[in-house]
Amino acid sequence: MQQWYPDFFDRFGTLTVFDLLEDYLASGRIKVDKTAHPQRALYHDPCNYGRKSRELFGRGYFDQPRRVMDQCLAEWTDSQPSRGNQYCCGGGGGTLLTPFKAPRIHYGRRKIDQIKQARAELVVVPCHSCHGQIKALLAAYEVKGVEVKYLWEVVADALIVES
Amino acid sequence: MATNPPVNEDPVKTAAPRRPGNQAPEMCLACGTCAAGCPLTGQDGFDPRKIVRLVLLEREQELIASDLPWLCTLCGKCEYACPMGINIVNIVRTLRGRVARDKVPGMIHKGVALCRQTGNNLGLPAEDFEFIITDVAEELAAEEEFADFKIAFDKPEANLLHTLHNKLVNTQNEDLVHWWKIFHVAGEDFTIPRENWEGVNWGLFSGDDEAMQLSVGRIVTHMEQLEIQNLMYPE
Amino acid sequence: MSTPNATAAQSPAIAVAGAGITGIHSALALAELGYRVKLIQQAPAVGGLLTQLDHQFPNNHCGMCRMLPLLDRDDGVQTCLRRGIYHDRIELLTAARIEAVAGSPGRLCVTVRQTAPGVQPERCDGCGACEAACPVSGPDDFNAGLTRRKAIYKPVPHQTVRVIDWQACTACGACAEACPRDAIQLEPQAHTIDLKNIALVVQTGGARLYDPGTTDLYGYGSLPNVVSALAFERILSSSGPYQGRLLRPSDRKAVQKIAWIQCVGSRNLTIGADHCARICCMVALKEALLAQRKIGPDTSATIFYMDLRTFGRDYQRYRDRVEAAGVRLVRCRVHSLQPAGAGDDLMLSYLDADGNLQDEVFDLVVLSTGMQPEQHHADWTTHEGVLVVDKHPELKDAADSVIAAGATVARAVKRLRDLHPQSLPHQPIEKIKEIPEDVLKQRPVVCLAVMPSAAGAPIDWDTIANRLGSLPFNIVMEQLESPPDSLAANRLLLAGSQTPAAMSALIGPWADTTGLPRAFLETVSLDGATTENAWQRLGPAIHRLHQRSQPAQHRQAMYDGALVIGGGPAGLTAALTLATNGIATTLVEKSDRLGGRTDQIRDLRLRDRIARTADAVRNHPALTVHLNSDVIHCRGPAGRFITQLRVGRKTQCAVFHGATILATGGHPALTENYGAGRHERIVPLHELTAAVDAPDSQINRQAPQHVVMIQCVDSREEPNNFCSRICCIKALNTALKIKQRHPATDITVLYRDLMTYGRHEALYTEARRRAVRFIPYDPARKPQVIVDDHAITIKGYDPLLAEPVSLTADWLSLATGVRPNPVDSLDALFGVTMTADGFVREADSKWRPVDTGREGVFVCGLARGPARAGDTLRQADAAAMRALRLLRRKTLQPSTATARLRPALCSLCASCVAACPHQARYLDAENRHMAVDAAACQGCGACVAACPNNATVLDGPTATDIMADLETAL
Repeated sequence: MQQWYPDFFDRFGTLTVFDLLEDYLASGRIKVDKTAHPQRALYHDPCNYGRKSRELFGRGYFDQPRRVMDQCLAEWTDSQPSRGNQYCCGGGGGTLLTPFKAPRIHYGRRKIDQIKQARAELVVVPCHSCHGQIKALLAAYEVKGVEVKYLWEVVADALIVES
Repeated sequence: MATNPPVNEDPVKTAAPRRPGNQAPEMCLACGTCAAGCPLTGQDGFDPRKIVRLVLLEREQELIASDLPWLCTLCGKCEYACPMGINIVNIVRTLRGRVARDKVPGMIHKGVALCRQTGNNLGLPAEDFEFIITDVAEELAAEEEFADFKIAFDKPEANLLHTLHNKLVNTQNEDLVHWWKIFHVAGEDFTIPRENWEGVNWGLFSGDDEAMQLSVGRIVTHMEQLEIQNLMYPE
Repeated sequence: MSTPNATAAQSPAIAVAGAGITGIHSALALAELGYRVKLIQQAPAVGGLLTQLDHQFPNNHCGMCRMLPLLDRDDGVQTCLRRGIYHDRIELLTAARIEAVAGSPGRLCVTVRQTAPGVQPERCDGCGACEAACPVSGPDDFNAGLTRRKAIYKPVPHQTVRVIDWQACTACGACAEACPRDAIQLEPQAHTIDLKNIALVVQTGGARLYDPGTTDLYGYGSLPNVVSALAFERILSSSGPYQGRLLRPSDRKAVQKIAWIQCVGSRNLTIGADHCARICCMVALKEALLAQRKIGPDTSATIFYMDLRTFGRDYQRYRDRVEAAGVRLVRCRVHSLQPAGAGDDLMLSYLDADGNLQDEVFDLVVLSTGMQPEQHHADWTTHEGVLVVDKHPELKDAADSVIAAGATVARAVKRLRDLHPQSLPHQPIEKIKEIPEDVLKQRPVVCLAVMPSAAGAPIDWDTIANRLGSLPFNIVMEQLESPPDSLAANRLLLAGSQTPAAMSALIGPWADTTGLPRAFLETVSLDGATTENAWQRLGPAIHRLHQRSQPAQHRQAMYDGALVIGGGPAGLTAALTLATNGIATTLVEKSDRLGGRTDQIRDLRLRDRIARTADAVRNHPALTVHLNSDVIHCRGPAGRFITQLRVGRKTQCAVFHGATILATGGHPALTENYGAGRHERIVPLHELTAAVDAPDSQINRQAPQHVVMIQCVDSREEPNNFCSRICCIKALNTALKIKQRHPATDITVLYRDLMTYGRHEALYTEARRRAVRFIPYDPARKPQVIVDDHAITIKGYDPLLAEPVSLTADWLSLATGVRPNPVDSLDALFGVTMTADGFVREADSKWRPVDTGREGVFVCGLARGPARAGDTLRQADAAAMRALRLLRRKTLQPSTATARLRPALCSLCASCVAACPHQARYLDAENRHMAVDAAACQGCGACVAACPNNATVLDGPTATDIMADLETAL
């Protein structure tokens, strides 16, 4: 965008999913209930929002999703390592669209180790590729009883709807 | 067998953008940091250090002809610790871009090609898209809390432009509603384009900069024509 | 009695900033040369980083005390330097830092900001009640944060007096309340002092360690079992957090599997660290070996490295020893660390030699943290008259620090001579006053001088006085604060409440002022004593003093000249430095010209400097140069050498000299390997370098397509198992010059470990930037050179791609390294020992790097070991300063504790020669007895114990003294 439409940012506002969620929560436009998620959750930093965003745009989305997590989940934890040195789920770079499933699943062993180490029952991700890959990993490594949700799905499920 | 390096007009080692470190790949120490940090090292001959070394020797054809560039997830963990700040991810992406388009494995290039023609990676016609979205929205509206929920397509002067990941439109319709629920409760004035709604840019994966430019251009066009105030970055 | 030497007393002092190894050595060297020194140390204790390290490579001991003066030992206190530094001419200011320097050289005013210790040392008896009462607790820097300490604490464990950390202190007053001796002073916290009459300032140190907490890669700070190399030294130390047991921080579990990660904070452009920290490879090797020894065969110690930089003379053999002991060396830089499972273990991934990814679990991981990048000296260091040891601060091992200090002292001395031509450093320091012999021989009268610090409670001095009266001696008791002008006694006992070492340090000044010989003075520390304790300490001391007789004054006249062997860069520099300081110096050169291998030096500035030095040597009135000459024999002790020379192959002459400097140099080695001699373009590296530097050489006229360089030719393996230190740097400089002239030329370097240590790393970086290719090779799989139809082909193996390599070359350079010049029986001639490779061995490779085992004989340059030209010149100056310290005196006065021969009893059995660890005993053929070299003798008593006839005695405390002390103690 910066490269091809340098004036775009002057003419229009841009909001990331994190900006939107934080804004809705902070302004009180939406209200959430932590008790909707009693499970022990693990947050996964997608490469594109974290490490690579920081490298390319000088800003990594590390803290915003964590602040959202704090409001929507009773108990959640970070993986080790996390943030900038996070392990990719193995589904990045379009690998989900290639036929090379075996290496992709092999790659994901680190993520499975982290999920097991954290004794997580719920993995929260803000990325479609990660969502798909982690579900595939859980199936491939036969890890039972772990749910995978989008960050906004967690918010949607924790919404307090006044009808 | 390695020999003295050949002569090459446009070698990958100079063509790959020098990000993040603004360092030439020649700076490589061959220290092994990248390979030690990559979970894929050793799998099917994958080794980021070897990739950099072969690129430096201008033996990129060996890489282009192999599956190796497509095994990489472009996650950047190697670069994160590289003491020389070498552009390993961009080297791999540039290698991918040198692969003949008909040799790009899996759905990536097919998606890019379809998107160029139809405005989405699935090649879904606008009527079908509208039908699916309206159907899911009606289902949501059937729930008591979201009774008056509706999708506004191509709404002029909306506050927010919402693009969609093709997989939600394709096989995972049930995941479309999370954002809609949030928008509904928040009272967000959002719109979805009827055409060129694709929120995912597979040109990023295939090393196809031109396709990326096209997709970005379509979003800009929506924003301009509908006079929308804010763009929600694709997820 | 000689006249008081007023100029000596009032001559300006030299301020030395920093009391790390460089600072301590600089201060001691200047003091030994007769200068007054103000040693200004920012930390509350001396020693710098080294106080935290108990074990030094290569013998794995500390040995810091080996820097203590060997001559005039009575001028200082012979105590562990980690406890403090006590010398008559050194004033130590701790917790102080220079804020500004004003004035002109020779008369500088140095403004010092000193933090108050908070505890008055003269009142404190070290009981520790204050520390127990202090409610504040924070990480203990001394133990690298592995333990916690209070805000009032001992800065080093071997110090008794505590200090207050004002940053941590909340000024609650609990310590002051708890102190039984009213020693705590919470105000003021700091004060400013103007040091006037400072001639010069020597700025040392400046390098700080990298903080691994600034990166998230290793989990430092969050994973408790990831520690810095410094913390690991503390874990190894018996004064460390676990009393020397190898436990890990998280759960105090005994450690078995340890990994070292090299280059943490070094060789990393992303943090601006375009340098190697120099010392970490050797530190890691040492730590791994110590761990292996401590834990035993169950240990698994692994070092993950990029290039193992064993670039010193004996380092490669040390590496071999460490490997043979079972330490695993893995060539792979580690990406990051993570917890292994739920416990406290750590998981680390690396590439093995076959390129496979391995995951391995360790109990403990040690980060070899390097040096913080981009460090600058304070602004005042640019002031005229400030000499900076390292323009760019860098971490150095002890030997390099001592050499750098010696070379800086040489600069300072030269500067001082220009400023104050009168203050010749080689003039002996005259005693201010001496008591006539007959007074000393009279019946002993002991003066018990009670200093104010001990005069008050809890000691009841009336009781003491009564008891003194009951002793069968003549005793007077006086309250004295400083040495009196006249004394109604001929023995003096000083009683004060300072620590024993601080009390001992008073002997020198009190002896000099009162004119008593040092043997007739004693001190007693009444630190924490009750009346009864005090009596127990005073009684035996009085007894001892009463018994003591005047030590024999066996002063020996010194020969005032110096002899330098070798007219290369090192010899020329050493000779000129000595001559400039007024020493008549004889330079002996085997060949028919001066300059040695100056042609090998590529740095034109240095070459020019050496040429100028050679000119100065030829023309200096204090210098005699003998070309085409060599040494026939040399005999005598330090200070009295007589050397027979063959001059111009025909005539002979004898030189009488007090000191000898060996600078016999080295030469480039030849090889028969890698096709040497089979093609005109297969050349030793130095020839390629010379060709590149010659404007109209073939390589400069015609651009070569391919240049290949093979490093470590016949080096770092038996029989020449050492790194020549210069070849990698030379190769890269040459490669860059070729690239500059012919950018399209393809250059490949085949290497083992690239030895671009320290700031030379930037050369390696630049070479890669210019697309020089690097292929490592394993000595077990060396490259093969094929010469065929005039073509040069190199067949090798690229371990990174795991495939063979075949390179054609227009030029092939072979880095053959350095060999010492063979000198017939150098060891026998001068009584020095040689290394396995034919270099001269130092007295101590860390602490006395330019001394040989033989006092009075010094070594510098390539005779000592491979060195770069700049290092060689620094060693030469350092050696000259060591010699000057000896030569500055007209006589050699033995210290109080020195062996003495009773010639009538000597049977010439030579047991003493074998027993002496300092080479201080020798056969005096003229007088037919085994003599003592007073300069070399350190008063250890080994020869006294070995002598079957009691012919050797040791002055100083006698057996009777010691028995009396023991009796009292029991």
